[in-house]
Amino acid sequence: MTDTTVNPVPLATEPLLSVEDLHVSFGRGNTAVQAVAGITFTMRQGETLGLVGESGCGKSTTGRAVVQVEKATSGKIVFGDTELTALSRGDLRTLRTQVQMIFQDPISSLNPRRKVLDIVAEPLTIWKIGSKEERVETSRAMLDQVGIDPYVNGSRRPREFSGGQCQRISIARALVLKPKLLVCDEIVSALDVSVQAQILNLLQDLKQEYNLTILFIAHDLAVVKNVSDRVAVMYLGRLCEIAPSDLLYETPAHHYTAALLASAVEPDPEAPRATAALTGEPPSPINPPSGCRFRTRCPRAEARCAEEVPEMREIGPGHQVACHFPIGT
Amino acid sequence: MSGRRLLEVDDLHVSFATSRGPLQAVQGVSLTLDQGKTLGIVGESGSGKTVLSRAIMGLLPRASTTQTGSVRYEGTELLNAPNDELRKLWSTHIAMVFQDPMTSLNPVQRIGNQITEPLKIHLKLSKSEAKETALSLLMQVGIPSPVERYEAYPAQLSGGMRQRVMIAIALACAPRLLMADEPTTGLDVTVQAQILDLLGQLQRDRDMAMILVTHDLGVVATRTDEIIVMYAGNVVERAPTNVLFKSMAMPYTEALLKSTPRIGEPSHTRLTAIEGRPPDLLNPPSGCPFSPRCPYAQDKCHVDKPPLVEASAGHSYACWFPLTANEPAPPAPEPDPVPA
Repeated sequence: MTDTTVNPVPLATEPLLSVEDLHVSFGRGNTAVQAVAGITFTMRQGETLGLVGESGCGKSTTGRAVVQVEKATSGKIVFGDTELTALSRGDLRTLRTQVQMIFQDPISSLNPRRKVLDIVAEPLTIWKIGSKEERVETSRAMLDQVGIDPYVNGSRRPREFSGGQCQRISIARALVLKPKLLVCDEIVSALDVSVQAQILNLLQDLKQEYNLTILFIAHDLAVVKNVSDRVAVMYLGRLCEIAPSDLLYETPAHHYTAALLASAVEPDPEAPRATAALTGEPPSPINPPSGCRFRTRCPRAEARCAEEVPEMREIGPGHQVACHFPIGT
Repeated sequence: MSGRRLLEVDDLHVSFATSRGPLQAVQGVSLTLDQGKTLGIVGESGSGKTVLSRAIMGLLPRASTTQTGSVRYEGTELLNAPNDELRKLWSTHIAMVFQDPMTSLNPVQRIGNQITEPLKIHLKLSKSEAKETALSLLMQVGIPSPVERYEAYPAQLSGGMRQRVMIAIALACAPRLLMADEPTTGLDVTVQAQILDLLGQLQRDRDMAMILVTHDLGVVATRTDEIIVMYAGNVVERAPTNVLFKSMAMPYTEALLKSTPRIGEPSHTRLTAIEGRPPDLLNPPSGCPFSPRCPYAQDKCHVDKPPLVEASAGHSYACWFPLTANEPAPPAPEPDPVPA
């Protein structure tokens, strides 16, 4: 219906989204928190980029900056050929129909007073897309597609649904305008494993069908590997490493990535036991370490790491790392 | 010194009075635990694992719950025992690490006070002795600069540090049995690994028994001797850890494992989701509680509830058509899907 412009160009041509040297700070003066301190990445049409890191690393802030819920302090976010950071409020509002976000808490992100069919139809109503009947029809089809029966459940309210079902409704609401880019912020972390698998499979199916580009933010390494084509690892406001998923998990080059992987538990008694590869906790983002931000906890750190910020560099096809002494070199 | 029986739970039932009738949260659970051993209790939300651990501790509100069966600690009956009896056992014999380190500590008391309180009450230590012990505990649980932290309030510590403080409080009076209810949920992976390592090491040092309650099969896979899988208030499978992962018999256990994404699998591996959702415990299905979602369910499953039977040494399951019996699941003799 509404997908007009984008031809099915093969991957690896123009990026759909490019983020250049993005900074986001909160507060000012010497208590300012640099939540995101200069990150650069691109996303191609149709790919899923996973963004992992521990709490406080700035992954959610990055996602929120991409949809412009959070204002970038500096840097550029270019979507298609539009620079989001330079748009007026009105233009940004129009563009948001193409960039949608799904949040962590499925229940509190839905209006408790409204019926789910109306929740899903609201974006269509706001943009006056189609007649009233058409909107109801589209919303019903959307609900049906995410596994909620619109005739039985359409006039119920969010509290009558479980967390997993609310997350399905959130997905329906996000996709009803047929966006190009979807930002998913920890969308399965509040769900039980069995329900988590349902939602991940649903997302995978919808991605195929709508040719979605997804920025998938999560802390769970196994979940991120499962859904992503490429994975970016973040630590204390900066990117450590980006690589195709299987490659990153197979041969991590950054010491932080390796430590994260060593800490992860696997449901298999014969898998190598998760070990505490890191001691202590990340330093404060108010006063980050000089040079490489990971150096205070890095087993390989040398004097150079304190003096010089490691820039992202390519060490293999599609594999970039920000480390002076990457693993395996 | 392992081998001595510490805890024996027999046919424990717990139900809550609700406005819609009684809710059977735990339906006839039996378990045993020996000194120095670790038991994992695994289940999804609503499976009854937390209620079970609280019933063992004697922490459920008496007025609104009905508890029957038996919970014996070294032969002493704990179920419905008077509070002052239980208080003598808490801390010194049984202690608990709660799920949420953010809300389980008292926000207006200094860390030091919260650790020395059980030492003064239960072990009758003097103020200075208690402080000395508390500082050494903070050191043991890996808190940097314990002297400063002793004076800190919980809000001044991170989640991982607070969970370490919780563990220090639980261990203060050298309990013989530690109950840990989701001790690492909500913590980052690197901190989770630190906390699990710490629990394991303290357990070995003290020859302490531990019950590790979690929703994450990954957490229990390498850190328990035995695992109990719970579903809708029932134990559906119980086995030594390596036996469980090698030859699981209950379709729910298999489904839970297959729906968990793994780091060892290539990306985009299709997960096997369990369709549907756990049953409403106010209105439980007849027959096997998992039958409405079970891919192998047959007519019998919807009618008769399978008992938990011990099939081989230490391995019990509640299933009419276990996975290990015959690889291809027995074809349904009557294929008409008549609901029970």
